[in-house]
Amino acid sequence: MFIILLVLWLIFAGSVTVTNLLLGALVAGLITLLCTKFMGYDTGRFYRGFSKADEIVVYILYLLREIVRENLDVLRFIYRKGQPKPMLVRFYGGVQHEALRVLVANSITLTPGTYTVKLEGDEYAVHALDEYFQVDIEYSAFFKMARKVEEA
Amino acid sequence: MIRLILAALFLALGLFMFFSEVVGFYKFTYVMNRMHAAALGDTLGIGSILVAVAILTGELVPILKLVLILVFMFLTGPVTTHLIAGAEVETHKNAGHEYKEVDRR
Repeated sequence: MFIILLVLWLIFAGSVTVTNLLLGALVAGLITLLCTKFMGYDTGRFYRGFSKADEIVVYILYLLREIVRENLDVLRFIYRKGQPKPMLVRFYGGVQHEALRVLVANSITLTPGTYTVKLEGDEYAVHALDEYFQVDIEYSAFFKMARKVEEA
Repeated sequence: MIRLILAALFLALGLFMFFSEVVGFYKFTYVMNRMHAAALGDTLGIGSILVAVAILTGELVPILKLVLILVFMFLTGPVTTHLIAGAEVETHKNAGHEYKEVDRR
């Protein structure tokens, strides 16, 4: 968290000077200290997350590809004659970790054509613009990657 | 010159996505379908315009700021979509006529 806050500070400041570095380190350190002391923030868990960096990069690249692909699919439905046949699909995701569940739900919402209406426990309710978008959504690569990270 | 053409192409793509978003918004008749159209501008629309601006600036710090804009857009966009959709499903009693419900639990 300290490193991310410091990098954020330097990006907003616009240049890497001694003043910016010292001031940024002071503020970032203070915020990290307050978060760990009063908000139960676990710094160790954050740094352990970096061991999965390769999986995170693969996930982000796949997400970007899906966003472009589904954008084109929704475009097709916009410029085609007739209304689409929307659906609300309820299913179990099979992901245990809370943060991963939210990550997958957010990814589903980010790709046009589908969005998560409800997420309760492991139960997802996903609205799809057409039947075409909801086929095998619980077996999509988002869920597969989340389950793989969980098993590792 | 090539940089300018590339930036113009990305800018045109972004504008086309925003145009399609508005067309879809008027074409679809129900709020939950319209939100799919609205997602076009939030993802590829803003994405390609930011890429175009990044190509035009060509400096590291402004590009990092643009990446930050995209990250925050991608983190906060789904939350609003989720809230609007949740409110519609909870409050609209006859919403079931507008879509087919499939239970795969």
